[in-house]
Amino acid sequence: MNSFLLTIAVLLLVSVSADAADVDACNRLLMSQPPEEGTADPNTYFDDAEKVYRDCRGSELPTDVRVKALAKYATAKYIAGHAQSASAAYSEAIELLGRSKGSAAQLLDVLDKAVLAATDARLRTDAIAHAKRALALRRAEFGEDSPEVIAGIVNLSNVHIAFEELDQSESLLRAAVRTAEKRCASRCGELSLAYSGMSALYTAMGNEAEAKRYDELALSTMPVPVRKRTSTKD
Amino acid sequence: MFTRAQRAYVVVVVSVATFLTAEVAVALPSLCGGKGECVCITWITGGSGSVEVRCPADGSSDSGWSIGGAPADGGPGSWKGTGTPKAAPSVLPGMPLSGATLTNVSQAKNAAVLKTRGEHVTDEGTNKGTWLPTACTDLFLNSPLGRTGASLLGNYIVYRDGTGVKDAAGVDVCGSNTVAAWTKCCEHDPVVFICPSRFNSSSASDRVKYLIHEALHVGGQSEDKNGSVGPDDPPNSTNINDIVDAACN
Repeated sequence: MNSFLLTIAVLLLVSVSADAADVDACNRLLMSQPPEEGTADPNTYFDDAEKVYRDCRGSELPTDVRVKALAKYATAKYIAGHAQSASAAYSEAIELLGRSKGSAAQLLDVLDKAVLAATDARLRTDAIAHAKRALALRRAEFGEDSPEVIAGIVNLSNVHIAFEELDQSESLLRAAVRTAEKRCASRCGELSLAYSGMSALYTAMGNEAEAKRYDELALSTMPVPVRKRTSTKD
Repeated sequence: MFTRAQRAYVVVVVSVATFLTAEVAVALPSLCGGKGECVCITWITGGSGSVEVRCPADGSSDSGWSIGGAPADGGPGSWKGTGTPKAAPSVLPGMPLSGATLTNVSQAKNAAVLKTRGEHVTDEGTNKGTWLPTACTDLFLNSPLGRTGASLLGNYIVYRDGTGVKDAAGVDVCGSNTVAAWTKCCEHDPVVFICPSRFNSSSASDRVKYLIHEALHVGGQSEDKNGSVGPDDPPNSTNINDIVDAACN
């Protein structure tokens, strides 16, 4: 009886330490960053992304690691120009996060990236769904008129621009500009972002003059640190 | 942070490799006629380094390469180009930017304009502001094109989608998956190509860095592509990114 219990304990111990080793290995693979021009071995990131997708999605691993593995693989695919594979992997990560009720910040990060990949893959339904879900989550987390919600509206409007639904984009952006103008007394990031969105819209409409005007408004409202200089008298 | 007078000297050191000799470091204040207005950039590739001296373009002191802390040689340093502005081609290469990429480029470009414009200072009791140059502004000192970084980024450069666009060597640059933005160095070609997926996957601060990096090339900053190392070798891409980081962040 005692030897049986001892065997079970040893097996459990081996299993736990194996899992810990797996998590460590996965965390190491997750560390590499997208390569920049001149990087000595630019393939490391993409190789790690393939490995992490193959080895770090098992249900025995923590959800956080599995989500990061999927997101890394998706980002590598997106950078390499395989938007459809990227979109599928992001969707898997979103589903996993939804099931596990993971952190809102992590879900928002993945949703925003999924919007870009689905848009590039011309998957309109997915892109709109992800953008709307991210917007709803921002509303719930940060409040209706928050800067984060304005960023979410600009993201959604960009999807509409990509699918040439300019009317829908315009109504969203005008609402975002109104909200941001009400919130901001002078320079502020969300107003600048909303103006940049308007500039992108007018570019899509072929109205270069208005696009330029909004781009200049985006520059003039972008926050800039100001130092107060105190005068000294001798 | 610094007033013009207080800006004794700005030393931007890139320690990519191993060392910066004490001899060079001590000698820096004497450059630019000893007025202490030198932007001294140490480009280090592999085990050797060269100090490039960028003095204010008032003609009173030489810029160029300084070896061992000696006065600058009056050469162009790591700049190339004729200094003649170039109009964008009538049929622009690449595709127009759109949607999310255009919004991201607009935000990064505007942030880069503000960073290269300098530091915004207001005097006590007034609302009047003035822009004082910073190390980031001074990266563009002595550019043969004679334009400030803010002017290049805001008015001169044309941003285009570089997907599938090939460089002079016939390489699909965006297809390398390592490049977020690129331009033809260094005859002041105003077109900067954006690689959307790589650019959009970068952090907001990296996007700003990449645009300032490309603006330097448009101004005439050359870049080492063959990995060779020599006293007058231009910096490689990593060197330039590091120096932009150090000067602008």
